[in-house]
Parts: sequence; structure tokens; C-alpha cells
Amino acid sequence: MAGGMEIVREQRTNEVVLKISGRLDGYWANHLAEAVHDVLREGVHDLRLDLSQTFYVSSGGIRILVDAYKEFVGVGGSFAIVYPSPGVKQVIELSGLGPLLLGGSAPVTTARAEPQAERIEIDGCVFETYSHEPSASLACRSAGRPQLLPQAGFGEPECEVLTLPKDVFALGLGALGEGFAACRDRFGEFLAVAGNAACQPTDGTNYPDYLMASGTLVPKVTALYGIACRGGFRKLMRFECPPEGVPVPFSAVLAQARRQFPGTTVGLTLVAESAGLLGAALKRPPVAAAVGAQRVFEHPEVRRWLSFSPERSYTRSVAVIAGVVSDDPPPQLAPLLRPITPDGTVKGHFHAGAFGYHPLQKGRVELHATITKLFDTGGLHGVMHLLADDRPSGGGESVLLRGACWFGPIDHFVSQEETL
Amino acid sequence: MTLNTGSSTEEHIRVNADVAELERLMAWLDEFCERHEVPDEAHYHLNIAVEEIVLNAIKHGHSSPAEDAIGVGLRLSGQELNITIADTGAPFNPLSAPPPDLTSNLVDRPIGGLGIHLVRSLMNSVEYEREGGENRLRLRKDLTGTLHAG
Repeated sequence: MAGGMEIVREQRTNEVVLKISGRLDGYWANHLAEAVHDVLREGVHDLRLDLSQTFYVSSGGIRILVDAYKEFVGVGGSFAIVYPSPGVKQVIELSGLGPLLLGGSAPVTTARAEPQAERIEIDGCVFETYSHEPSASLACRSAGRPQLLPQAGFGEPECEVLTLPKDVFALGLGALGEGFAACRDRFGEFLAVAGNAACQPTDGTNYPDYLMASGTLVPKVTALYGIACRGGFRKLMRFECPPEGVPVPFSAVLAQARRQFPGTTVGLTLVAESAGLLGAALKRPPVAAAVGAQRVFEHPEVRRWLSFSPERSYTRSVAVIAGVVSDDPPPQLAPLLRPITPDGTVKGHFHAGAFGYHPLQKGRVELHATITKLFDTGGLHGVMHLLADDRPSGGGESVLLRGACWFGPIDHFVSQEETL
Repeated sequence: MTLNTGSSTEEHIRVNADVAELERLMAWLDEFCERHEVPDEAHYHLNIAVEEIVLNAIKHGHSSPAEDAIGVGLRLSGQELNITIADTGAPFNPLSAPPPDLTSNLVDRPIGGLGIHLVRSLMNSVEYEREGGENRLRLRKDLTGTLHAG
């Protein structure tokens, strides 16, 4: 009965089957765990384990099987053991786990799309758009004076404390905390979605700060400038590229969102498995210095001010992205929106938070739960301003494998003198 | 080591308190069972019981891979197999752990305690004692019997 484990993978139309031969014991169970995680990371949501050639299972093996069940069911998929050998079946039943592991979970269906989903396929990537909150609206306003960034000229008068409850998404330059004095050494890119706020500090720690709404605690960011939008999203779009295919450019996701609401300014938040993010982050707080005006974006000073890689980063991560895109920016937001397409006709502003990999649930996911779960893991690696570098030698733009995007038209633009 | 004491056969092995030693231990166990034509089902149950107890001893009794810290003895007398597993780790009686609640919600059910539950279910008797600075578990498996209800 000695020996190892062999894992053979079979790809079927709607599921993956792993055929396990040999021992599923405390020693070899980790090999199966890795194989299961690999399948999950590819975006497969339905897994079957063929244990007909598995002649041994111990409690260590059972533990891996239960973990796999929880992970696949947790992302809206399914997991089941098929054709267990008599010995494996006996141990699973003795463990009281027969109904869970042998009964089969949710059956695999041939069509995942819900009736009300609009489905479109582009370059192998499938986009499904659902009605989310049909009567929802978004109101947005800007904060601060972004014109001061090129000379790093921000001071206390430009500061504004933004309160960021669950129905607000926001992005800009700021720091967690209240007041210019408390934050002046840490101002950097920030992002807030669904009651979770994250900031990239510029005090040299390079480790992002974040705060989650809890009970009566509502995160606050002292912003040098930013965009804040309050309300709900009318649409939810799910997109997915095949495991061996080409990932979708971020601009293609934006194009699909804009197509739903032509001629309007669209606000969106997005959670996606990243194949690479292209962005930049400040290295130093852009506050007015005694030495006079700076030239943040000019060579060679830009190297002291900005952290930018010409290649994409966070290639296997989950990104939370928030921002605004428009063909015709309203005057309230125009100073904050920058060209994001080569011809400059589309303008936008997006920040991203990069997290450790975590599979996304299929179907109609809930915004708050999905994003809060990511923050709960504590795996936030960085916050950045997303860029599109279309120079011949440039890095292009961020690319995504699959994700969920909540979006809707911005119906109201509020002046800086008003609250949302 | 093999001892022939009349109608019974007794063999022992010592292994380090190291997960990497499991393969050697299980190969020894398999060789014993095959040589003495232990029935397949009992052989299978014996594998599970020994692995569960030895892994438990390694994980809970030793902070580092102690040399020759675990001894396993097999004594075959007619249709009865007696197994002794001794380890020099910290005093720990796995039988004192509460049995897993097999009636609770399957998804939320903690997996802890499942190993010793399997041992109790697959063996005809399981006893623990602390003796000579060692944890000793004595297991008995009736080779003619059917599965113990646990």
C-alpha cells in the first residue's frame, strides 16, 4: 500500500475532473491541495475528484477534501467526489461527511447566464451585464485643487476631510486621519469603496494603510484633492477571459460600461483578478515646501516624486478599482479627468488597490460583501493611480482576467461648497 | 526486529518524529501485512490507525524532529493483531479529546478530532497509558471481525 500520488487532469465542457491515484494521506494531501488551488486560480468553478483509484484516505486527506468543498461552494461553484473507491467511501462515511462530499453539490448547468443578462463576447472574453439597481442614481463632487499637483503646492487650505460611508466611492490624494498636520507626511493615492478606505502612504513605509467601516466607525480621509460619488449602481457586469486566452484590457471593460450609458459620465467600482496593473504612486507627499515650487512631472525630478514601472505589476492579484469615465466631462469633474485613450477622446480617473489572490464568486455578487471580504483578509499590497501608457515603448494598460464591475450614470454633479 | 514467540509473531520499528519518516513506516507496515497475509480491509484500517496516531504524536508531542522518538510494535496472534505505538513526546492522551460532533452543520463543522474518531471506529479497542516517560497507545484489531461501530 506504500506509494505516492498521481494527479491527472481532465478538462470537460463545464467542469474539471482531477483523477487521483494512490494515497491521500497526511503527507500527500498537500499535493492535492495545491492542484485544487491551481484549478481555482484558473477561474474554474466546478470541480470533480475521481477517487476510483485512490486506495487510501486519512483525516489529513479528509481535511483537504472539506476545504476544497468550502472553497468551491464559497465562490458559487460546486465540488463533489465521484466514483470513490470502497475504502475511501467507507472512511468518508465514518467521518459523517458522506452527504457533503459524496452527495454532490450544486449540479453543473450548461448555461450560467441568467435570463436578464445581456451577453457579448469580445476577443474570447465574455461580458454579461445584469440589471442591478434599476432606479439607483449617483451624485458626485470633486474636492480640492488638482492643479496644485505639478508643483507639489498643497497646503492646509486645500485640505478637506471626506467621510466615506458604505454608499460612497472615492479616490484622490489623501491620508487616513483628520487634518493637514496629522497627515502631511503621508499624503498619497487613496481609494474608498463600500465603507473601506485605503491609502498609499508617502512616509517611506510603502505599506498601505486601510480602515474599514465597523459599527459607528466610518472611515475618513483627509484629501488634498479627489472625487467622491454617492449612491447606487444600475448595472452589474461580469466578465471572464478563457484560462489560456488573452486578458481583457481595462479600457475594454470601460468601453462596455460606457456602451450601456452612452453620452453620460459613468461611475464605477470593479473587483477583478489581475493579469497586471499599470500605474504610478507618489513617493513623497506633494505638500508645499519651504524651498519653493517643485516640478513633479518633469525630468529628472519626476524620478524622485513618482514610483512608476514601465511594466505591469501585481500580475497574479485581485484589484479593487474605482473611478469615473466620460466622453464629455462636466465642469465640476473636468480638472480631475485625464485622457485614457490614445486619441484623448475618453477621459477618466481610476485608482486601484491590489490584494493577494482570492477567487471571485460567480454570478451576481454583492458589492459590499465582496470588497469587505478582501479587506478582511488583510492582504492589501498597494494603492496606485492607473495609467495608460500608449507610447511605442510604453507598457500599455492594466489587463484583467475576470471580474465584476458595478456601474451607473452620474446623474447629479455637486459643487465643492455642497455635501453629497 | 522480529520475535517468534510460539504461535505469535512480533515486530518493532523506531522512527524519528518527522513527517518524512511516514513513508518508511508505512512501507514497513505494508511489508508485515503482506508477509502475514493480513486481510486487505484490516490492512487498510491498520494503515489509517497507525498514520493518524503517529502524525498526532509528531504534531503535538515534539517541537523538533526527535531521533527514534516513536516506536511501533505489531504482534500477530492467530486472528488478532495488537499494535503498540509509543512516543517520547510530552504527555498527551488523544483519547481524552471530545469526539467530533457528527450531527452539527456539515459545512461549519470543525475537522479536529476526526483522526482519533477514525481510529476508534476502525479498531476493536484503543487504550492509552503514560509509562516510562512515553505515551503508549495499545490498539487491538480482530482480523476475523467486521468493522467496529465506534
